[in-house]
Amino acid sequence: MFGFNLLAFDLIAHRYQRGGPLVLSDFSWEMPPGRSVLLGPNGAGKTTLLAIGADALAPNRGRVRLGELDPARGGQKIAYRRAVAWMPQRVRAIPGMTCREQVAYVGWLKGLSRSDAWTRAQRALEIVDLTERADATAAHLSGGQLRRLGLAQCLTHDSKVLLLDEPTAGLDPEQRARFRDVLLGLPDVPVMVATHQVDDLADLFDAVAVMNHGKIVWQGSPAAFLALAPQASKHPGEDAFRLVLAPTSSPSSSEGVAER
Amino acid sequence: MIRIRTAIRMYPAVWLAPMLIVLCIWYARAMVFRSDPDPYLPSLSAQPMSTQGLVAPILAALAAWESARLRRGGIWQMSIVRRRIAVVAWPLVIIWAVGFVAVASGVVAVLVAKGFLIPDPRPLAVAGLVLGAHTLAGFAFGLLLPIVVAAPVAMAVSLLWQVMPRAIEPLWTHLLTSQQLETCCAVDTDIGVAALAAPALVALGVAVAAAIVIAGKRTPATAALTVAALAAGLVSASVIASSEPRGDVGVARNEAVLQCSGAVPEVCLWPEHASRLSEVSGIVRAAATAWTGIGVQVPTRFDEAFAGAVRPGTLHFRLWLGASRDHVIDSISYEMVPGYIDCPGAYMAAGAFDPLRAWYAATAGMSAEALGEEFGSLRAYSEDFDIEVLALVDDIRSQSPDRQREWVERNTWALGACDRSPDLRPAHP
Repeated sequence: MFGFNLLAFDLIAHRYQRGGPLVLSDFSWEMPPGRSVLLGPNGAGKTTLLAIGADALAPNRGRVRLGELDPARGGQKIAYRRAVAWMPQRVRAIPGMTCREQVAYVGWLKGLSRSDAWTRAQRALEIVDLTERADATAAHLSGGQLRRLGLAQCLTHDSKVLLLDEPTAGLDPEQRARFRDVLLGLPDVPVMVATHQVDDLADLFDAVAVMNHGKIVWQGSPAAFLALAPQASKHPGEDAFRLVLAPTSSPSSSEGVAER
Repeated sequence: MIRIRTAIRMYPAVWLAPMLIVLCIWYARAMVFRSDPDPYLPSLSAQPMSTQGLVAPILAALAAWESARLRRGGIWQMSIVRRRIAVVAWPLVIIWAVGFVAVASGVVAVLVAKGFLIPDPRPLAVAGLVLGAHTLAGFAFGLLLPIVVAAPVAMAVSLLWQVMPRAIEPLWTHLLTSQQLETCCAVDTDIGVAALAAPALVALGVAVAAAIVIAGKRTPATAALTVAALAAGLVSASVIASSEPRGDVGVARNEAVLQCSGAVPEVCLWPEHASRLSEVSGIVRAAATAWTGIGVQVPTRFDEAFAGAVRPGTLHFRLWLGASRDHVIDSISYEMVPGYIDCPGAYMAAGAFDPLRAWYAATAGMSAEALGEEFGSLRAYSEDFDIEVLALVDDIRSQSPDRQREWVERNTWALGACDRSPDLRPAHP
């Protein structure tokens, strides 16, 4: 079902400013296959991890790989960047462009030919259900529509991995539900969604990883994660999340803690 | 990547193109046709370069705007595959092309009015380079500065870059901008290498520096490289420009193309004036005959060659296509009188210049009307002497040829040094 090439981080260290705090320190982790969710509080390092995974940010130290592809190695950067699609936390509209133009343009930026970019932009807009707004100016989209536009941008090129950073943050329940539907309809490639929202995990994802202070502190199946919550819990996802993050807690998991 | 219809809708450069083209055509024609220029291709191709002063700052602002657009779209935060040069090429080429077409339109509009179609490529080549540099620099400003101020700052800096070097001394700094080409050229000069190379080198330095900024890597090494490119452009341009200390755009034109009458005295005109060779030869011959009749020494050749290249026995005079008989006489009469000397103190013989000139003109047969226009308001005077120039000349000309020759020779001799007093009185003691 899914490709065998998994995104792997090897001994990554990164800080944004010289002398500033280390966001990631000797971070090594392999992204699980299938759809996985990366949970973590604000400041956990999720956005940094995804940006490094997308090669939008060069780590101070360490390597990121997708199978044999290493963006730091000469000649592999382009192939790597084509293989990894990344939707940043803040999807921006390019002023003056319509949705179709922006998606096609980003496809071209990702290396598609001009004609392929236009063809695939149409298809990507259909997948994210934005066809009706295809000729609207991207800057006039609502927050939810802009996220779907960002997702469409990720779908134009033949990516092997999708990295989505807080795709539903700030959306109203209806928009979130719509976005989840779109996620379920995505092509069969490994997807990692970074979020701090823990609803509907079981329906959407095959794996859960929890990140805190630049480390993966828990990893397992959604069922195992939800099982951490007390039986009578009304919000098992949130309760399990709190338990995993609580400094005194020692949650047990059938699949174990993935911290290295 | 950007489709034509997208470009038309999205790029302000495209919206402004018709206005810029019309503006350049109007401005170029207004500036060049203030006078009646000769149909001389280098001149007609260089003078419309004044339009760059209008176009370049607009291009810089438009480039800053497009740069800011890509920034606002978060393009540089994406993990894109295309090289930066490919990404920025689209907006930059469109902006540059709009500016270049506008400037070229001004040139063509001027040329067509004078019966040419193909311009001298040199000024336009430099203009292309300069407009490219302003465009790249504007884009770099858009990357470096806060988005809100990038376009106005780019426009202001571009404008200053066009204006400042031409407003300061030493005069050779004027050659650092291609706008100085608008002062080129009289028909006896061609566009000088310094006037072409200096702005081209500055533009090249700026373009390379801007390209390094646009390339995106911000390291101490790239910062040093940026400064080095700017400095290299400026220094090399300054070295070349300073070879023309007076900031002259024109250099002596190749005399091999002069077309000569073959008669004595020989009259040689530039090809642009050759249609009047026979007529002008006749006027010059008549003047020479009149002066020789008095006993004044007359050159054996009258030509339009650059006055800087003085040769014994040759008189260089200036002509334009619409010059009348009186204009021709005035021009050769002017050149018959020795030029002013740059004296540290008083130039004692300076007062002899106009009476001598008037004598040559009157003797050569200048009409009374033209004499009145040219010399009617002038007076000849010394310590004990004050008279209207024309009255003095009438008096001189009423005397014998020998007395006239003596008067001409002694006053011409006086003009040859700072400390010689002229003696303009008709009756020399």
